[in-house]
Amino acid sequence: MVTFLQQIILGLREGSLFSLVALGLVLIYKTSGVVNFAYGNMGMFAAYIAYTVFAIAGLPLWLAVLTAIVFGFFLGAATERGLLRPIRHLSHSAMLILTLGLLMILEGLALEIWKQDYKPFPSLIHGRPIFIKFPQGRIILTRQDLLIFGIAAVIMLALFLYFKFTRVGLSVRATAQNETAARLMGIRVGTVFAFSWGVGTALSALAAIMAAPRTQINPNMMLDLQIQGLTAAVLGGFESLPGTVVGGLLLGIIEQFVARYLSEELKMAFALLIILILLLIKPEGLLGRRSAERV
Amino acid sequence: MLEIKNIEVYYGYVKALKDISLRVEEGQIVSLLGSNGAGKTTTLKTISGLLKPKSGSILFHEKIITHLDSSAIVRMGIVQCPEGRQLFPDLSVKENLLVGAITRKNRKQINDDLNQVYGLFPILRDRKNQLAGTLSGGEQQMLAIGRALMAGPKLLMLDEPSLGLAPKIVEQIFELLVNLNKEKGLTILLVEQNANAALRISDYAYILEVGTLTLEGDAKDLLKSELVQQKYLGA
Ligand SMILES: Nc1ncnc2c1ncn2[C@@H]1O[C@H](COP(=O)(O)OP(=O)(O)O)[C@@H](O)[C@H]1O
Ligand SMILES: [Mg+2]
Repeated sequence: MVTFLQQIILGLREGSLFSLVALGLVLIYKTSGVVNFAYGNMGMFAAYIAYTVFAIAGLPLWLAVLTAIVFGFFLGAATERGLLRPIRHLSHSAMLILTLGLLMILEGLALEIWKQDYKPFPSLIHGRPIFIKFPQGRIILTRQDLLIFGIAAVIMLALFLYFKFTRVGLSVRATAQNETAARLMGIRVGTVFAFSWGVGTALSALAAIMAAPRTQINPNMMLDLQIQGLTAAVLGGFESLPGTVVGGLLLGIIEQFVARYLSEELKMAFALLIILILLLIKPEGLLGRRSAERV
Repeated sequence: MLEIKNIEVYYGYVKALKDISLRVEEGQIVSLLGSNGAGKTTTLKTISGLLKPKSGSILFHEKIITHLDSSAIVRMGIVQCPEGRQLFPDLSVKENLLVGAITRKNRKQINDDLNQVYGLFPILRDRKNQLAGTLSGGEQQMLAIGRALMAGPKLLMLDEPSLGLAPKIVEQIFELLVNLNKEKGLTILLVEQNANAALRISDYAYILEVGTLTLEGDAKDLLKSELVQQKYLGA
């Protein structure tokens, strides 16, 4: 039983990062109707900005992180305004293809600017790891693990409250549910799209920075997380923010069990397979509802 | 108050409105009638800025608004209660009403208006925390009208508010429109297929047929007109 508990704790550790990544994806999708394939790479690019500010310009770490997050916000907003808005009227697939193109462009651009070699990036906090002892052994959680968990929890709560109780939040939710009606009520839906792309991409930047100490900064650093975030979003029904968080945590736990009892190398593949089967049985996602609102 | 001059509107290459001109005077109830597919909804969408005419112009209080986007048009006081209600199904009744007031800043006024809408439709107050999607058809129509009123309209446009509702509720809603017009001086542009009921509360009316205006006149005269009786009132 205790190893079972251990697996769950380790799964939650990974899962909180998946949740963070998935939140931005779902936010962007719910408001603008686009699954952003470039999402992970936009965060990757922001992580390089953090690296540049910190390691090359020699500025404090907190400033580097802040710069990257703000950069992420504007990168997201500008992408929506400058690239997607002009082709919104064309077709849905045109927008999807554009995000795929952007994914490759950002990767190439990062290689061009920062070259091949992986860049190290420090943990946001240091200190002795936390040991949780069990009769059969122990789990080690680094301070960064705990920080990721804490930040993810705070961000999710803040986002939830923001969307629930502010005018901007209400505009975003209304636009996500019925774009035409939102327009008719005078909501500037373009601003809502740009805003949610900004917030979503800022989340990707934050996730990339959190993952950076482990992955190091490189053009492919967000490849796995992009897929895991998408999977978490699907698992959560691509619907509500709380559902998405649960989807991320659940995916973390599923992967952990696959890694422990089946195969470490194949954990992503197996996890995807499990999800595929789940979706065949319950297409609206584990926590989603059947609805044809968006797309 | 509102003046449409010779607009032509296309969906792709298909012309949906041909050379439409109409006027709504301040304080009036004006009806736009016509059967399914005539172009009534297209007309309202164009006034609201969701569609742009290929030619012609739209004026509000003598100012050209043809080029404005929908949010600017709402801010000028032209508010639409759309066909099929178009509520936000997963927002609560109260949140739907607050979205109606999203262009306004003064919290106290918004609160006063909220209470006024609850006064007009007490059922909405009882259900204020319920999700809009769970309301009955009649309640949804009330919410759609309440939401439009929350925007503080000078000109309220309603697209087939009677569609799919029981006669008793239709009567109630039309009575409310008359009251809003008489007591608050609200100008109304009413789109209906239910010509009889609409003409009875209107001052003036236009009849649209496959994208062209074929007839207009005082509502009383149209009600008496034999041609209209035969074609639209099923007499
Ligand atoms: N989004 C659209 N794309 C193409 N054609 C449309 C669209 N909406 C309406 N139409 C066409 O335009 C004409 C007018 O439609 P509409 O304004 O909805 O009529 P009404 O509201 O009077 O029933 C119809 O022939 C309809 O088929
Ligand atoms: Mg119509």
